[in-house]
Amino acid sequence: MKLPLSPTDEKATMDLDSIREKLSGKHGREYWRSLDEVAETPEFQAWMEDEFPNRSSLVSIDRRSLLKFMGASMMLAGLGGCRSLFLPTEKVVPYVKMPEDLIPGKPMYFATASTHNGSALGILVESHEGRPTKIEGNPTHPASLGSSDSFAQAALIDLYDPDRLRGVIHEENDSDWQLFLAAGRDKLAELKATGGAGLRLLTPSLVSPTEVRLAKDLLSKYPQAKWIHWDAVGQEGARQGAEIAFGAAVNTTYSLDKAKVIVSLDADFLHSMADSVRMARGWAEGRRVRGTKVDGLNRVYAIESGVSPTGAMADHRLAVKPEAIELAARMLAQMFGIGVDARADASIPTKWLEAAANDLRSAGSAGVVIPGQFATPAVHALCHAINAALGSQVPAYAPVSGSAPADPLNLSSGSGGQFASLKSLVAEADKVEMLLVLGGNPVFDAPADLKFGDALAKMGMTVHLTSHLNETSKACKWALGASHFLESWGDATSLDGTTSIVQPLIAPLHDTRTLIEVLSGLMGGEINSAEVVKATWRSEVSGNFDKAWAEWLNTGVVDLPARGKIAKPTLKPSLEIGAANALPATSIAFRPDATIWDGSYANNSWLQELPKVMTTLTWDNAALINPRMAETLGLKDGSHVKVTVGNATIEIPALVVVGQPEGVVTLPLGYGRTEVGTVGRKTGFNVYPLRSTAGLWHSAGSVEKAGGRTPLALTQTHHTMEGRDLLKMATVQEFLAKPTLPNEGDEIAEKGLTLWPENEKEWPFEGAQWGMSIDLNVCTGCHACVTACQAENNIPVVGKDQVMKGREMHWIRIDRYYRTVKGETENNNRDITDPSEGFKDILDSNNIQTVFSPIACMHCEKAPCEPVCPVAATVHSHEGLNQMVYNRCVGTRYCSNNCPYKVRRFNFLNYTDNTQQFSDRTEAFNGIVSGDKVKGRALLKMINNPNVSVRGRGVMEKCSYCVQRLNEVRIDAKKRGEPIADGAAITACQQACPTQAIVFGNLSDPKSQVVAAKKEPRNYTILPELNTHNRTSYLARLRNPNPELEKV
Amino acid sequence: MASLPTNIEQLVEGKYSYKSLDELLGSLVFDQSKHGKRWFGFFAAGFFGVGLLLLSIVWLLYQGIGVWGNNQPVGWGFDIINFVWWIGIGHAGTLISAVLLLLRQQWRNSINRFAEAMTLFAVMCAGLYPLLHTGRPWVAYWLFPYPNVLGMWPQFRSPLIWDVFAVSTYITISALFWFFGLIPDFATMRDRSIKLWQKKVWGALAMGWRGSMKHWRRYEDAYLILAGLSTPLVLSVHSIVSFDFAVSIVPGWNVTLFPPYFVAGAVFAGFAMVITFAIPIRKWYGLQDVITEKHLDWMAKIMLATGLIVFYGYVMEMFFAWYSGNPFELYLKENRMGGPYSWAFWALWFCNGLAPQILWFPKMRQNKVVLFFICQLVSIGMWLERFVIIPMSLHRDYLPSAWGMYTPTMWDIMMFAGTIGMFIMFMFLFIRFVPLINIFEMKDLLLRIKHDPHAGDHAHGDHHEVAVVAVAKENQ
Repeated sequence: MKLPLSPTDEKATMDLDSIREKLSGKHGREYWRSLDEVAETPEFQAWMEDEFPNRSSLVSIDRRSLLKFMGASMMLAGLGGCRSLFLPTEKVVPYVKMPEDLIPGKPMYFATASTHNGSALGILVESHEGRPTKIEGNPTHPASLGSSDSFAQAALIDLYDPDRLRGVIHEENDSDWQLFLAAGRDKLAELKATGGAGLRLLTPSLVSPTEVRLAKDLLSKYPQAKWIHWDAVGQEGARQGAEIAFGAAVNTTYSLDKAKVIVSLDADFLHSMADSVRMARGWAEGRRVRGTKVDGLNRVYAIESGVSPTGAMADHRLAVKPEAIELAARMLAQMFGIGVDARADASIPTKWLEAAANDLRSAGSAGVVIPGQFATPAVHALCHAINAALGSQVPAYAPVSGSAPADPLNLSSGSGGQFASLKSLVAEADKVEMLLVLGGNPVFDAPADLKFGDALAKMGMTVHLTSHLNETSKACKWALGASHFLESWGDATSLDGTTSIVQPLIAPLHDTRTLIEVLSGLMGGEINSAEVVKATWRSEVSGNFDKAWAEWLNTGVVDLPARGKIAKPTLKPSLEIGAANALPATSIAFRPDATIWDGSYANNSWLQELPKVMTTLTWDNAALINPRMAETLGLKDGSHVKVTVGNATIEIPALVVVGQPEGVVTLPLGYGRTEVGTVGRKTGFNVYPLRSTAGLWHSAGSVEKAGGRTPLALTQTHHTMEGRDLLKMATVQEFLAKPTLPNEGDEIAEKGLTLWPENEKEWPFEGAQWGMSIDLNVCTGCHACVTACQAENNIPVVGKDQVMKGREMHWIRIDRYYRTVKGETENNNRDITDPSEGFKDILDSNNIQTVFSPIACMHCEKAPCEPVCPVAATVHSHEGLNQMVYNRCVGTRYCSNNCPYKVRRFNFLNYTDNTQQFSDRTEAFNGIVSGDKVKGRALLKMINNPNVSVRGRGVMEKCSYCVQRLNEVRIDAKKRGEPIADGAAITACQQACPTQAIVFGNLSDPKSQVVAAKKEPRNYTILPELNTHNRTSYLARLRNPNPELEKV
Repeated sequence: MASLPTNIEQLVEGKYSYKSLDELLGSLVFDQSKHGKRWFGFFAAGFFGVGLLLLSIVWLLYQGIGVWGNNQPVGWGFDIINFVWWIGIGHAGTLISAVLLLLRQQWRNSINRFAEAMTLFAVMCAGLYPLLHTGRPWVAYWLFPYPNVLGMWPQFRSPLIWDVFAVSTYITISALFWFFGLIPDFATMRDRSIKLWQKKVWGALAMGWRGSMKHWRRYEDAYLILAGLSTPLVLSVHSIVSFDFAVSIVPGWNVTLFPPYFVAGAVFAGFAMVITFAIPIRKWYGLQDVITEKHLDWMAKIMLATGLIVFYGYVMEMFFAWYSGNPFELYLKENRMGGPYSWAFWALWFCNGLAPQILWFPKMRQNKVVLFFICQLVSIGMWLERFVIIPMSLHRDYLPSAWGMYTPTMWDIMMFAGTIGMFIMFMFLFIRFVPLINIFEMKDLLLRIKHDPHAGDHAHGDHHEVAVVAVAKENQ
């Protein structure tokens, strides 16, 4: 196209004005003719073709203006280039090779498995364009059944943790894998001569068949080498107990759906025990009540040495010293005619035990006694014996071969178990030429009396494979970065013998390797870990292996019927159990922390800030003590105490826990790490110095007041209901006598007491009407929903100081109140005195019942928050959701003030970029990470759910009923032209809930589960008198006491 | 009018001519040597406070509301306490200038100017808080109804929107009223200036005022109209502020008694602040003749009366909490009397309920030390009242699991101190550079004392003209 250079150019003289001028005054045909004439002129053609008609040409602009324009253009172009000075430069790169089946914007799900507490949990991982963003339970996996726990949920943030070890460190210098493998192979070649006499392998109990295979391979090549196990928190007691009872170590888990009477001997099967997700589901199945049908409701007797969700949910609870658990087991065994030494103790009323024993007998095969994970081997053995006597169908047995070393007896009571082998490792430290510590943190968590750290210094080539630099890796000569399980190929076995293939969701973010890769690499074998894992399984499949493999990956479960099953073990005719011991005056109990466990999750910010189940403590551990002890010693929450066991003493703040047994100080493990990332730094107090081989789980000890105080970040500081009828409970008998009991006194909440026109008539509902029902009869307060919500909704972590100010951001909080057990209704309004206000009226800790109620936004139909917002930032959707419009919020906080449930959360500071959540100071190791400026902030941004806005400071937020999921479900249904199916919309909390306490759905669908739940007689809403018409309602909790004991 | 004091001669003590009165009142501006080290001390303290205020605002904007002690469940703390406190203090000015003008209370003449200035400065201090207390102050303008591409209006059901209108109206009217009342005095200042630049400045401010009959006529009309506009504001502003609480469902906030009791409390607090300033200023600047003991006495009486209304409110609040039988209200009562913040509640009852009762005794009213001290207690008490209402209701409401405590941080305190500093700084600038006492109204009063000390029932509109003529005569 020819462009005119100047206005004098003939063709450029036409413009719209001249056309109008030519056409003016013309009508009809004349008009059209003129138009044609005009259109045919070359001027018009040129005008039409010109891209910018009527522009000034260069000639028409004078020099000065031209220079001005040029100057301005240059300046603007220059400013555009400055963008990168104040805004980050971001590159958008399309897929060069599009992955199969990937639709951008649509998440994909992959089955894999996470491992916690010596058992694998089958999970499904949501992946957005290759980024894992959410972990869900795998419905086809028997240990998960679609549910998960906080640990599985929070494993995700470990993947993106900027503090992870990102390569290889050799004696505090950056190194690389080639150097390590060369050094390691040289050393192994050297050791070959002696048959590996100086080679030691130290691992936690492995649940991966491939890892075990490789370890065995190594041992077979180096017959003189030794494989040592150390778990700070493991299944040692259970295995040794099984040895005593059956003569062989077996794993035991319990199918509680079959159980009618459950006696727990310090077994927290609802929360902290291995395989608790499955057991909680089974328990809930036996606990769920429909209508007034209560026959078949299970009954739980809990004898416990601390406080736990199991004790809280039990129908009868005894709080005793940890040593008394064995006494109770012995007494109970005697009642079943099992010959064992027993002694009575005042803390265990015989009447109580007898009632439980009678109940067990009448339940027969549906009765079960469950030993706690941390109970002595004798307790485990006696429970096996009692269950055998009952003919109980509840226990399920599986081989431990998946986790045991070549010589399973290594673990057994005969050789002293883990201690013996660990002790021998320490004793032979001088002779050890090469030590491979594959996982774990034994320098921090090995029994203090072994002085493992000192021994380690004497050894030759020490190697530690670890996800983070920790106390052990600092002490070892080589520290190797371990891949996260979401970056790894592998396999993992659950306590019940089910195995899953672990498949990677993402290529390793850093230069890390898995245990499988390290072992096979050292042995000079296959480095491709997928092939190594396949090699383990290839021989087990008779048919087409690739087809089976693909299926296993798809379902997340290795489908080999024979694997992981054993015949029911037979009880030995006589059990070798020693004499009963007397109880100490003060017992010190060691328990894994409710969130950071044995310390391995210390750098996990989600778990650090998760309120601990029974105490609501965050970011710290504390010596849990009984109110009476607090009164005697003059302690308040946070007052320091000196706890002494043997020669060791530590100082730790005390926390008063209602229901804690008298004379017992529970010390949660795992805190006080010294070599840890940003998150775990300066949190809590190390209690491992008190823990010795003599008393791994409990010891006699003493406690005294020390000076000083550490403020503790509790998320709930008031523990009684102040006589308010907030949480409804009844015994089964009371409920049967009067099924309307839970709603008594709520007549005031009748709809119709309103100034507004009735919703249904004036403003008819259109589309789905979302609602939720939470069954408090099965809610165990385990907090899985809280972490699931945090992961789903991009909820930030705020840090200890902010939690202490009451600014935690979790959208769900689990309200926990204490009440007395006796006479639910008469004493409904009678509360125990609040420990935060002095202990004037301490009741017997046995009489304390802890009750839970998860509270999130109630999605009130007449929400008090809405009319007070000055900018309409919180409004109702047509589907009945109370919605927060983040972009509109100016942050007056009036909505939160006016919320009777106080479920709104405010971004008081810029929490999303909070340094408490991660470190952006962690520098990449030189030369290891490509583009070595991978900052923490960028890394952690990858975890965000792309379907949920990340909130900035000054904005209010709250539970949205996972509106992003609802939208997706609605769009899908619309595309198919169908109504939204019941059960299609699942909130994150509902999905995670191990007991399926949460039912969610469409209230305008009369056949939906949620409508059925809301028709239950136990249905009630909190604060109905406020007439807010909550969309979330609750099902009252029922207690199923033994009438025999109720009379006591 | 019967309400006019029969003894208005008590309102000016000593013998004054119009000229000497002019000189007395004008000299505060013209004779800058009257403002010595004391003035500088107060100004410097105020200036330091403004520094603190700016520092705390910068930090607040940089970090967010999190630097304050606000939390869940206490969403409002010092921010709204101080907002309501300052707004309340402003009320005396409006009452004195508008209501007392309409009621033809001559004694307002010597105190209205600085009371109005106080209103203005107090509302400025107050206005900072609603803006800065939002999480995202840069979008706080969304509270105003303005045309925008979002097609969004504010949510008119929210009392915070009513607040926006109430407070913005209040500050507009107060500023107009204050400036308008100053015009004749600016003219006087212009006429009395010697230096040219002073004449120019005062002349510009006087807006061409020449004191003609026409000017006076229009001035009187306009002033009355403004007074008429201001009068409902005395009632409406604090009523609307009280709606912030009364409209909610928080126990302790949802109280129908709030509007009248907030208004009475505001007048109570406002008079306390006026007396707080009047007592030292009249002494330091030799104004005892125009701000007389009688003035103080009457102001003390108003304080006593409004204090009784406020105290009645407190008693009724507690009574209804008990009488309602509502467990949440009952607990509120218990929490106030015996909860962790009960000290604030009892201090409030002492400061606002008990202490002002001493003003029943004329001797105590006339004892300026006692009066000053009582005024301080009242100011503290009114602050505590808002503390009792706002954080103490929020920190323990419906669900005990969500209960929490509220502790202000140094930034809360710094910002509060900063607003007090700003108030002091502006007040002292005002004293030095603007006629502190209404010169022409005082001259008018003087005229009436001289010519007709007992004729209180003059039509208001007339007397200025008489005064102007008289002044003109004397000046000749």
